[in-house]
Amino acid sequence: MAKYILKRLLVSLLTLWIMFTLTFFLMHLTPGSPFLGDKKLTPEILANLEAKYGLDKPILVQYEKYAKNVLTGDFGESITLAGQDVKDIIVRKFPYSLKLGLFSSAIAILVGTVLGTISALKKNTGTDRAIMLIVTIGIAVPSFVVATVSMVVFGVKFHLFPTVSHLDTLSSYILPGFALSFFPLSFITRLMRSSMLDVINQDYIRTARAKGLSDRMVIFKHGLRNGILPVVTYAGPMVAGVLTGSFVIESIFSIPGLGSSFVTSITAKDYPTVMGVTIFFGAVLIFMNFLVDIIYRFVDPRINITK
Amino acid sequence: MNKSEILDNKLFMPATESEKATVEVMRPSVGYWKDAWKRLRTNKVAMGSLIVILLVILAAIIGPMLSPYAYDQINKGSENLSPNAQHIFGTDSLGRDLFTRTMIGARISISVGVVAAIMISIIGILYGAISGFLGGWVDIVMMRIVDIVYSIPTILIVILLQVVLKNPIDKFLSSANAPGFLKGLGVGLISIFFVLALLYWVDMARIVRGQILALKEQEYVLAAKVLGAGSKDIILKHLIPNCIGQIIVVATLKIPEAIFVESFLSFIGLGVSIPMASLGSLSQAALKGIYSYPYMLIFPAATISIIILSMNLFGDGLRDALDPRMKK
Repeated sequence: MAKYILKRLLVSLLTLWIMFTLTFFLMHLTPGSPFLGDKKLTPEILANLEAKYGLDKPILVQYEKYAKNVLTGDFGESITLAGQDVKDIIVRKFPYSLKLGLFSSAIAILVGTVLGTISALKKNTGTDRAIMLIVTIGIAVPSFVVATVSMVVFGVKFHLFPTVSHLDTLSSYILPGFALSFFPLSFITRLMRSSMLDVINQDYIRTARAKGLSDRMVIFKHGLRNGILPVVTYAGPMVAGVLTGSFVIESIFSIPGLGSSFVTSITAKDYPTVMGVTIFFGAVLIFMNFLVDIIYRFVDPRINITK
Repeated sequence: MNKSEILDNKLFMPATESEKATVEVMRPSVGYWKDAWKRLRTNKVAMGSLIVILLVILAAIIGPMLSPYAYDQINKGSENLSPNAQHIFGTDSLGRDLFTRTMIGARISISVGVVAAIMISIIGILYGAISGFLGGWVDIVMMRIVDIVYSIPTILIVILLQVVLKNPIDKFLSSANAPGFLKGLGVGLISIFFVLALLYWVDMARIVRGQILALKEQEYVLAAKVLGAGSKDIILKHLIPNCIGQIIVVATLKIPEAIFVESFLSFIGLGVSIPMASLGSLSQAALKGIYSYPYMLIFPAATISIIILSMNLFGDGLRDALDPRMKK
């Protein structure tokens, strides 16, 4: 097991390093400078600014310096928000994205597992068809459509929930949370349904029933614990989806999170912020994938960990 | 016992026509494609989706031609109209006809999906086939690369690439030797194609590799080798045609995925360039006036959802038809 964890850790670190390098060179090989935007600067001021942010040095020198800084947690200073460290921006804004992300993921997993199980147990009934219809739509409709439509209907028309959200009350979580969790929820429902259908035909379920266990015991003790395994593997991609989904959801609901500032810093060519946030998000995602891999090996004893 | 007792000719009679008919093959042998088409045809959901897709494609191709307005035509004095007889989807804040713009948007989205799926397939098939066929350390190295591309958070890199590619492509397009049709596409679209082709081929490569690994042990591959066929011929003429079913399924399901990514990028302002319209950028533009003019959002949002939904359902049906073993 330790060997497996170590191997996965090394692969994760390698991936992170490749992403870091890719991000660095992509951003720096772009022609055009972040200072060429709104107002014309004299060449002297431009040179001074570039010297200040280290943009005048050879690219490999910049790369080495940046890598060293990142290892100590220093992502440099934002260009558009002068005087603010990228690290501070991340520390200040990420909690909003994290709160919304955790809320949405929890909803997606809970509701998705329950709906999927119900659907499987009531296969080919009206309930099953209704659930499958909803989740088929959920997989097809982009999150920004869900967000804007639900904002117009529940926020503007009926005034049920706030349309501008600072995630301070429960009701301010509802609309962005729904928009962000609709896709993963639908996906998990489908996963859970097909996996439960598979599980309830297994011999050990028949054995459990033959022992005289109640339906509830069979479903909860034997069915769910096996049926939920594919959902665990989906946790990694789900976190990725929720994080990137938050780029648009945060902008739509004016949530001051890291996703919306990532989008604005991209259009503003704010190199340090874009790089810092990309590397940060990348690290979060790669770490989540690593975690999911390890957890999966723990929860499914059928997998041979020495391999 | 004598022979005549056993083989008395009177015991035999010529078979009647109807008796002869029972001996004949009951039905002609059915080829792979015919069989798949028969399965697909009985799948109501898939056929319904196919009809919807064809209608949307038709509307996207001829709709803008029939419309009295051009997609970028600014009609002064008819700004922000709600749906009416002249403009059935209404007009936007510059007085442009939203019906025409939505049709153009659908055209863009569908072509992004189809072109991206073709490019993804070409890269993925060749990569997967080479990796699976050669095996050994080549396979190990190539699959490690796939693993890494797979675990890199794609959308982050897509966004970065989208930003980074804009300038070089712009420069190339404004140079003299750029082909005319590329200029018509615009920077945003070309970089979307590029980005999608660059990052979304891994699924295809994995599936093709898996198929090739299984197929290359078959006797007909050995026969081809014995007859002196080279690796290139074996891959292109024997192996790939034999996993075409799975390839088509994956490619079909890549179309909605590509449309999804395109609309996402356009929605955050990284997609097609103004005044070109895509369904994502139309939705994004509608967001500014969402409180007063919600209809501006409804049409592009509904169109994109219908396209993705029907493509998904059709893809599922196609998978069941082409490869019944994969049926869930």
